[in-house]
Amino acid sequence: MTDHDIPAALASHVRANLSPVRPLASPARRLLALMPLAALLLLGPPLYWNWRDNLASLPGWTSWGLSILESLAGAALLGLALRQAVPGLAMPTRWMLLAFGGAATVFATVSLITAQVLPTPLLNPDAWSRLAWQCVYMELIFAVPALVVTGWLVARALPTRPALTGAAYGLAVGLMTDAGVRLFCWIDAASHVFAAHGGAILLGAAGSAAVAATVEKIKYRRLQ
Amino acid sequence: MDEVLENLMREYQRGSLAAFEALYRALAPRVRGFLRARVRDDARVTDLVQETFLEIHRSRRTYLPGASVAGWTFGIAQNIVLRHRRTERRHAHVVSTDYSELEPRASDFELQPLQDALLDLSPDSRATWWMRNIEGLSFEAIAHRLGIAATAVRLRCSRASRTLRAALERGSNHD
Repeated sequence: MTDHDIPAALASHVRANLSPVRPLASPARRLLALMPLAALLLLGPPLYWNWRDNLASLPGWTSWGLSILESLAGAALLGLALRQAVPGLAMPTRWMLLAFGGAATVFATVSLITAQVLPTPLLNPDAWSRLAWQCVYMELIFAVPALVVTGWLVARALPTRPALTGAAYGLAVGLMTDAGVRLFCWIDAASHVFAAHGGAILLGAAGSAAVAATVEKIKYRRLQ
Repeated sequence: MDEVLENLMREYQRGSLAAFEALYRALAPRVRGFLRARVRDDARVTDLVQETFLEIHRSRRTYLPGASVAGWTFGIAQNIVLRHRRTERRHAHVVSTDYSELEPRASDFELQPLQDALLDLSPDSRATWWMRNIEGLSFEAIAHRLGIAATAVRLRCSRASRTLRAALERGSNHD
């Protein structure tokens, strides 16, 4: 048999399942469709839990400006994740790792600049862990539904490296959610921001990586 | 060439079997070359070419009109290679312990030519054929055990049977 002869089993499988399909929208169009979600993640936490008490003390470029920057960085990473899920469009792993490094840099820069402009240390150290868990919880309440939506969009395609793609959209949604949560959370102490807000982002990224890998395994088994 | 492939891909997405057949003829040799550069075992390459086209069929909606068909196809082939490596790592013990060293004794069959022909199969094909025809497992059970698609198991079994039949016919002609 040569490569010009289609194996009979393959031909009959194709013939039996040859319904017309609608092509997937391009990653850019799917990212555009997700922009309302980015706006919801930016405005939802402060609107739902109230704006930070010291918002008026922060210059506009550090409050809104840095939040919009963080949200845009998240959106860019989400675009990469959606692209990563389409065969033939995936970026090399080292580029993705570079993008992860860029996302971490944006988060660290935003946090450190805010702490520099308006230092708000935690007055009661005993409350540290309680407030940290509160922020993790509040961030995840908004992040998890967004992760489900983006995870579903990625699962509709065929990511070659599902864990890497999952980590990318998890990190992206984490950044976009943090952009909103920092307009609510009044604590700028580095120990709080990096442990609680950064921890929530990492938790989302790790969870999404695991979920994306599991979903691909399940998809593969269900197709058998 | 790219434009021709793009048009064929669009037709295929609309449900044309002829377009799939034309795509297969145009792309199978290139997919084989791509896989051969990444997987050493020739029999395994043949399986993976078929798995790649199965995945192409399942994922045909992920082709974005206007994109390079070859790039998309190689993306799927790369996906198959990585999946194959992951599966191989996970199931190494099944294949190497139970089947790759398999040496069927003539007394098992009282058919020496069949034993010889079986030994000529690749370890993967032999394992699949053995599980199906000697252990009597279903395609789905074999697929689960080897971590590959049931359709891939069917393809592998049918190819192994064909190879065995050809080897036995050659043997009887020599006699």
